[in-house]
Amino acid sequence: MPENIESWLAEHRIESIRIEGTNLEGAFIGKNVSPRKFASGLKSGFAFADVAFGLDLGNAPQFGFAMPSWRGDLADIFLHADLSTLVEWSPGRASVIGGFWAPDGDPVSACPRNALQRMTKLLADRGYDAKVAVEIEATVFEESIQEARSKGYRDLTPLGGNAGSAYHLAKSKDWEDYMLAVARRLEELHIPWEAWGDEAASGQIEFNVAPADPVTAADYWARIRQVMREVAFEQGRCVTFMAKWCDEYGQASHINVSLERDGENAFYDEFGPSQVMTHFLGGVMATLAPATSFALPAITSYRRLQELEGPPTTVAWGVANKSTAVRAVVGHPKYSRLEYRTPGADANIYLVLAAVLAGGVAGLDGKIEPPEPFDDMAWCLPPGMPKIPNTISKAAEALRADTLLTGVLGQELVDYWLGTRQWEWLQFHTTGGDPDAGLTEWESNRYFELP
Amino acid sequence: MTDPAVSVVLEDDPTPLVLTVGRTLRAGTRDPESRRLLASLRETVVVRSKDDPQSVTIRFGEGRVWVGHGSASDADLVLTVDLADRFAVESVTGAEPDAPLVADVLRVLRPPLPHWRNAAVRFWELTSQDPGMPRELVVVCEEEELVLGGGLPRYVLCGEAEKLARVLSGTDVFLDEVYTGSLAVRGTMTQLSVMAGASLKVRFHA
Repeated sequence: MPENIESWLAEHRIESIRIEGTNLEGAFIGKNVSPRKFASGLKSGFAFADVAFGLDLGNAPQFGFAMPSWRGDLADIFLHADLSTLVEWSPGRASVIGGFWAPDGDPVSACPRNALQRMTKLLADRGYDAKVAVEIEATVFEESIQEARSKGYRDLTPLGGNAGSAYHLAKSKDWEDYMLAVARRLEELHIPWEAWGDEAASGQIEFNVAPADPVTAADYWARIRQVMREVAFEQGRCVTFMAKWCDEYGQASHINVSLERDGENAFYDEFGPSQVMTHFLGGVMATLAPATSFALPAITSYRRLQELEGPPTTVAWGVANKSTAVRAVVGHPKYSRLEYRTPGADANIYLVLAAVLAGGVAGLDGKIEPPEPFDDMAWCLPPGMPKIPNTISKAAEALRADTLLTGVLGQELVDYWLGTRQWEWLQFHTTGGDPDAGLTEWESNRYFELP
Repeated sequence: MTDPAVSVVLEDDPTPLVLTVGRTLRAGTRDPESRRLLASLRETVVVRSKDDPQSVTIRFGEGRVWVGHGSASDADLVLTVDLADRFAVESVTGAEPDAPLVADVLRVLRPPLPHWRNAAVRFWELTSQDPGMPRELVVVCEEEELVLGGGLPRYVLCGEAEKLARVLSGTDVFLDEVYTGSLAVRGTMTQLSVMAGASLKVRFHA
């Protein structure tokens, strides 16, 4: 963080600063301010209408639920910049990420970044530093976003050709050019990417980023998606983070979590999960069904949940078992971790991480024992194993019935979230969606470009 | 003679239209003529929206009516309807438009509306304790006024008698009527949200 902001802005010849945050829908929102306005707003915060947290992705106001005290008749809420995130985004332009606060100085309960900060602090209060790495999947297309819009986001051409998928290097140069440009931009922004490659479908890529504290990891996620969109615009391409952009291919956003204590991996034990990992996992598994509402936030999110297609369908965990919802990586002093495999590429990572950490906190506090590890393939099972909720309404119901996750995450956030999920369900069914059809135009129009 | 009992059963994870039709049929069980028809019908009927993909299948059976989303291929009757106008029929497949079966099905889908005052009292009974609800609801119909609850915050709802009856009984959607101007309201935006939720509760679960 620069010691003197005004000097930093002058040194970098900054003409505008983009102040940024992530709303409840997972969209990267913000506005551009002059250096003078930026300096004056650092203490007071930057005003946004409260509907920044009250519009759906179709731009309709969300109604149908009780609203907390920070919502009013288009009242102001304030984005407070976290100056540790200040970077030169491009020549003449800076970027800074923040969280949202009410006029009375209380954090906006529905601000995902605030929620994640709270959960991180709860762990810190218990002596643990969480380390998180987020996998980012997306599909890139030959078409520009303008062409995609004119085609209704249908019949697009995945960049790099259709021959093969998953680790193939025989991709056309246009694909490499795009990915190399993204990686270069990440270097410029000091985002420590580790790997990228061809994922499991045509045009699909995966970016891996180095582990970081939860809020930083989520900030990376928000910025990488923005970079991927901007590079696509520059190259006349487009990119989507839909959970499924067509009926065939889904995309995920797996989350890897571990806890450190005094600089050592607290999940590590020579012979398997440590006691800390065991209890954290116990809480994560006990809250996996209600947390699905956060991991799979949209109508399309649930289209991924097909047996044998990659995403988990069963509430189960296993050691080195990628067919389960949570994969435990054990026995390594550095890499022992939990991989949370439910989230779709459309998940709001701040929120999902907050939910996962909240589950972990509940597990640590309650010394919750997880179910037995599942050693077989966790797809196509006979009846008996609990299933991950497979619709937005079932997931909402699981969250509504929960007390464990809500007790840590906060009733106000959960209630507000559930209100918005009821709205999303209602809008899908009553404004053109069809639960019995494949991917609908309603979904393409709503989710291709946002969040 | 005792009227036959009829239970209305919905599919798991019902859609909004399934919930709406379910509530409508349950309202019918409180009306003797509708209840008699519900008990006597044996057909499978599809009701689909004229405007969007929403549809439901209603399977009438002995003492039980089942409602699920989608259009069953074995339906005896398909009604294409205006969902914004109490299932007003646009077209009929499987029978002549003036066939008795069509009239019977419409009768159970359009049970008698309560008086707006009764609808308001029932609405208040079902929703007044929900989080965020105003402490007082004032329903104004021309020169008449009904005050429910007492104290602040207050919410005022104004409209014509039939519109109030339709909205407060869950037949019409509160928010749609506010947007189109057929209902006028006075209160805060957060109360508008809560009232919209209360309206959905009555529409889906009354």
